[in-house]
Amino acid sequence: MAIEEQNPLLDAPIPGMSLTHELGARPWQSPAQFTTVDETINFYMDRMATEEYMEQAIEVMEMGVPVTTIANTMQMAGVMEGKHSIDVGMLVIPLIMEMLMLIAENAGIEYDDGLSDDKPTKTSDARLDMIRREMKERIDDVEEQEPEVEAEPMAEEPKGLMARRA
Amino acid sequence: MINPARQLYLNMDIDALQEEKQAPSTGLLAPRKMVSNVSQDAVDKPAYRVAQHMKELRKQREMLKNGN
Repeated sequence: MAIEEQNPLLDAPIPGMSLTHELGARPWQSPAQFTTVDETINFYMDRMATEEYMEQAIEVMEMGVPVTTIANTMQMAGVMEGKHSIDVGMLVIPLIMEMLMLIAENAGIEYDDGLSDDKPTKTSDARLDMIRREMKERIDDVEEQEPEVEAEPMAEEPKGLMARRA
Repeated sequence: MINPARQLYLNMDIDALQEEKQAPSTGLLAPRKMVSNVSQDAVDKPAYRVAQHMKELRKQREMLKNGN
C-alpha cells in the first residue's frame, strides 16, 4: 500500500467526531444513489468526458499530482456525496485511473501515474514553473507593500522614587 | 492516509482477460457470436466488467501511443 506522505499524521478525525451529527444526516449514511458498478461507471465516465473536467484534470496532472491520488480522491468524494458505497468505489478506482491516463495521453502531457515504487528523484518542469510563478507573485506582493513608518522613540520615563510624575 | 489505488490497479490483470470470440458471419441469419467461452460466473462479477471497460480504454491509449 502506498502511503501518501504529504498529509501530516495528526490531520485525522478526533475520536467521536463521527458522532457529532444525527445518524443519517450525512450523505454517506444514507443508501447510495448508484448501487451497482455499472451505474457508477456510467456516472464517472459521463462526468469525466466533459470538456470542463478534462481541462481541470490536465491542469492537475501537469502540476505533478499522481493519477493514483486523483483517482482515490475522486472516489472518496463520490462516497462522501452519497453517490456510491466505498466498496463500489474501490472497484472503479482502476477504471478512473485508466481514464485519467487516457485524458493525459490524449492531451500529450507528461504525467505521474503513481504506479512506480521509487520516490521521484527529479522535479517535473511544470512543478518547477509553478513554484517559480508562486515565488514571483510573493516577491511582487512584498514590493507593493509600503515601507513602514518608523515610530518616534518614546522619551524615557523617570524611574526614581523621587522623580516627578507627569 | 493510505491510498489503495496503486495496489488495486496492479491487481487488475487485464492482459489475462478472456475475450469473447467473434464467429465469422457470412449470411444474414448466421450467428453473430459463438457460444461464450467465458463462464457466466465471471461475466456476473463486477470486477470482470470493470476489467472489460479498462481493456477498451487501454486499447485506445495504445492506439494513441502508436499514432493510429
